[in-house]
Amino acid sequence: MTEQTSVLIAEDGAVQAALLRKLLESAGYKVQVARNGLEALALLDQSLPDVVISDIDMPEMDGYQLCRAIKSEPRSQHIPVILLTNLSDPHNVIQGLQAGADNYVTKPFDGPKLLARVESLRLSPSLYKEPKQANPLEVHLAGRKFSIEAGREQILNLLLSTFEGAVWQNQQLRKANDELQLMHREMEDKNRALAAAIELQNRFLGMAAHDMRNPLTVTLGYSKILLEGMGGQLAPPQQKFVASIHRSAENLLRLVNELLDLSEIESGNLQLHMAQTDLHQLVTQVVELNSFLAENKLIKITSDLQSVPSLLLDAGKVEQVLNNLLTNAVKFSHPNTTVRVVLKVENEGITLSVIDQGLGIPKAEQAALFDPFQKTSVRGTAGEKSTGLGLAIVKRILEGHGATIDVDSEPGRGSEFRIRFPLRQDSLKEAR
Amino acid sequence: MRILAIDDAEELTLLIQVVLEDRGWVVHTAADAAEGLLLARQGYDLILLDKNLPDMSEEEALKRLTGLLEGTSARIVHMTGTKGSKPALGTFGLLEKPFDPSTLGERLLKFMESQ
Repeated sequence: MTEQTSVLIAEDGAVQAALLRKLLESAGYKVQVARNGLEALALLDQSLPDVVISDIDMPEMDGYQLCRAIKSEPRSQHIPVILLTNLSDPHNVIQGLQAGADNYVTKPFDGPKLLARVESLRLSPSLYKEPKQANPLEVHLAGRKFSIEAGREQILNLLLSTFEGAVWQNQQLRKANDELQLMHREMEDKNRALAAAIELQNRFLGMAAHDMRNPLTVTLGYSKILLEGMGGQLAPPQQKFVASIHRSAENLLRLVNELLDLSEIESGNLQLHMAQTDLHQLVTQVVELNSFLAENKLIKITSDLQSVPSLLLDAGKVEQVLNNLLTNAVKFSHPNTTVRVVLKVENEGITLSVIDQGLGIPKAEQAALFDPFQKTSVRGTAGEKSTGLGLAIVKRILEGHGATIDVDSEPGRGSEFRIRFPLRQDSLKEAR
Repeated sequence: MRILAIDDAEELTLLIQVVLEDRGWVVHTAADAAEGLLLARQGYDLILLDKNLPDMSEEEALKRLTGLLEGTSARIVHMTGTKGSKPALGTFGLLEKPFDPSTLGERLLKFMESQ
């Protein structure tokens, strides 16, 4: 190059402009950058570059307007103009032709290709001095008619560059698509491995829980018969120690059962045996059973049960849910308080509430209350233990029924756990 | 009452033996299916059979034991550590572990009375 070739870049994006400048300067070009069409025209007034590269979307004056201005001015119309496009709209091509653009380069641009374009345009500028066609070409696109005045060679060149850009973009897309498919396959493999690991973990858990039942039966059994005096009357300290063994074994059994329940639920194996169930009767029975246990702590369970339409439920599982809520209520209540159970039809559903006057739950702990292994900082009033799994199981069982549970609680005042079973419209009418 | 308890958990069969002998019953124990099948024809009223034995599948053990007991009045009651199991055809009951030893005798009598 005897004389340095100069390129004018019109580009409003600072990063894109910097990239172009770096590319062209490293190839030995003299580069000027304008941030929009107007700035570019001002620069063109001072000196004429050999090639103009312009973005299309720019403030003040866009790439088409700039191109048109360059081509309508006799002193600048020989300068080749390259438009940067993302080829998202076929009208780009028509607009480019109408504006008199010489070449299209697709964004994101390929460095070596762009340089080759600039070089070929610089070497054959004669093409671009060609007079315009006497009879404008008529082109139809998307139901509209366009009139093109550009010269044949310019049209051909612009279309070829557009086609080349489209092919390149298509190759990039295909490459990206292949990579995506590969990633998808890898992801599927990983998912399968993960599912197998979870399955193995659940089987392991099930096996462990199963195998723990034999020693638990033995521990619970012997401590029970010892407490009942089958091996001879125990002295008071012995009685206390053996009772502690028995309680610990009971806690362990509950943990084993709940771990098993949760692993079954988490692995999607929650089996619900749904049948039309009289919830009123079920609640009455569960309340009665729990009343005996509550009496040991001098806690009274009262119930206010409306008759409600029968629901499709797994009675055993719902009993487990209510047992859990009542056990908790008793666990966290002081002697001489009352736990209330309320059943009623309300807001297109059936609400079952367990309301205690116990210790309550700190606000900060309420959100995670139904997550597994979230033990509350609140201790049972008689030192009862928690596994941190009960409410997680409760929530998941209820979800399996399409029901919800939420809690209102105030430390020092008590808690209200509210279950809402959805009610079908037809049975709602029966209830009224 | 004559009872045979078949379970590889020997501590458990011992517990069963202790509480039922306390009622004056005769209790023998076997630690696997093979031993249980050897003893089974010695005139028991009730055979407690663990579902999960080391040397034989649940189905096979039940089938062979039922075959051996044909023509006798002995009844089979399954024992299991799996929650929510259903009693199998050919048995007279299912004892879920852990069970309460204090009420075990009463429960076994109920299994003997059931039709």
